Amino acid sequence: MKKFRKKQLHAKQRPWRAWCAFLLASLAAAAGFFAMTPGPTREAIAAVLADPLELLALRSPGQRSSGTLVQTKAARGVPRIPANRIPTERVLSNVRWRPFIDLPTNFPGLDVTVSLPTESFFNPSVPANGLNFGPPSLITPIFGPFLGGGSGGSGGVPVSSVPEPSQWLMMLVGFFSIGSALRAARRKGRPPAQVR
Amino acid sequence: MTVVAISKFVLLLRPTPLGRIALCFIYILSIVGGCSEPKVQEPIRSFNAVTEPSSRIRYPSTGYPELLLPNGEKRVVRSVLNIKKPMMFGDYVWDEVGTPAGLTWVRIDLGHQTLSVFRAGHEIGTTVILYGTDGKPTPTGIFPVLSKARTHQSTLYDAQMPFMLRLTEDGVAIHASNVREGSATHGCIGVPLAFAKILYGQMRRGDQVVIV
Repeated sequence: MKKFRKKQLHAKQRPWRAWCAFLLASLAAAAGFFAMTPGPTREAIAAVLADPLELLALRSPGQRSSGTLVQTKAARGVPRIPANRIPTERVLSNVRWRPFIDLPTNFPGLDVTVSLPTESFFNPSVPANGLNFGPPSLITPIFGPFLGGGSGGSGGVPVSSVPEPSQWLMMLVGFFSIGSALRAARRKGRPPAQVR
Repeated sequence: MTVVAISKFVLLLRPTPLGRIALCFIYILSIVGGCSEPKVQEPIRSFNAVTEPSSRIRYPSTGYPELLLPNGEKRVVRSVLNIKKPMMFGDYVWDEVGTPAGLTWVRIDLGHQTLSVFRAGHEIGTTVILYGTDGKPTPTGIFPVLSKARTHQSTLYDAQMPFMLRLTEDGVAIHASNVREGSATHGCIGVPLAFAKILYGQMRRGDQVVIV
C-alpha cells in the first residue's frame, strides 16, 4: 500500500517533466523551421536590420502624395476672410418692396374682429376723425375651436404617434422613479400620497 | 467618467434597491449610447526613457552602415532607435541615455515625413514632421543652422514660431508647430513643441541639417 502511494506521487510529478519535454520539442521545431526557411527571406531580414534607411522608413506615417489638400498658415496682416466683405445677393436687391395688399375686412371661416373705430363703423353717417373709409388699423384674429376647412393648415404642433428614444428613456426613468417611490412609501408603512 | 461621477453622487443619496436597478439601467444605456468618453490611443512619447536593451538597435562594430548625404559624403550610423511601427502625427521619441557627445546632425526625410537627430553616430531623437506644400516646397540639401531663437514671430505669416532653428536666409527654419495630419508649411519644417524644445537645446549654430 505504501509502495503504491509512492508510485502515485511519482506519477503526479510527471506532468512537469512532460511540460519540459514539450518545451524542448517546440524549441527544436522552431530552430528547425528557421533552418528550413529559404535563404532569400533570411537575407531580406538581415538586410532590413543592416540598412538604417529601412529602419527609419518603418516609423514613417506614410508619404504625402502630391496634390493633397493641406491647410497652412495665413499670411501676416492679411486675414483669410476680409472683414469688410458684405454678403451680396445676386437675385434680390437690397431694397425690398412689396405691393400694397388690400386687407379684407371679413375672412371666410375665421372669426376675426377688425378693430375699426366703432362709431364710424356702425354709424357711417357720423364722421369721426376722417377714419371712415381708411384701412383697418389693427386686425386681431381669434381662432375658434374649429378652424375653417378651407384654410388647409392645422395650427397645432405636429405630434408624432411614435415617441423618440429620448422620450422612451424619459418615460422609463419616470416609471422607475414612480415605482421606487411607491415601494419606498409602502415599505415605510404609510400609504402613498393621495389627493384629498 | 462624468457618468460614473454622477452615478456615485446619486448613490450617496441612498436610493432604494429598485432605484439602484434603475440607475444601473441608465448607466448601461448611457454607455451604449456613447456618453462615455472614447478611448484615445496614447502616442509614443518618451523623454530620457530608461534605456532598455530593446530601445535601440545597435550595429556590430565590425561593420557600421553609412548614410549617404546629398553631396556624396557618408555618415556612419552606430545605432538607431528601435521604433518598428509607424509614428503618428505629433509623436516623438527622444532617448539619449548612454550616447556619447560628438558630431550632432539632423536628417530630415521629406518623403517619409520623419526627422532623425544623430549624435556621434547614434540616433537620439525622431519625430514626424510637417513640410512645405507643393506650391512652396521645402528645399533639399545640407544646411547649417544659421541662427536660433527661443521665441520668434514670423515676419511673413501670422504665426508664432517657438524654438526656431533658421536654415536659409529666405526664411526656411525648423520650428515648433501644431503637427497633425492634413497640415503643411510654407517651406519650414514643423515639429512638435516639446520636441522642438529638446532639439533647440541640442543643436548649436553651424550644426548641419540634411534634408533629403
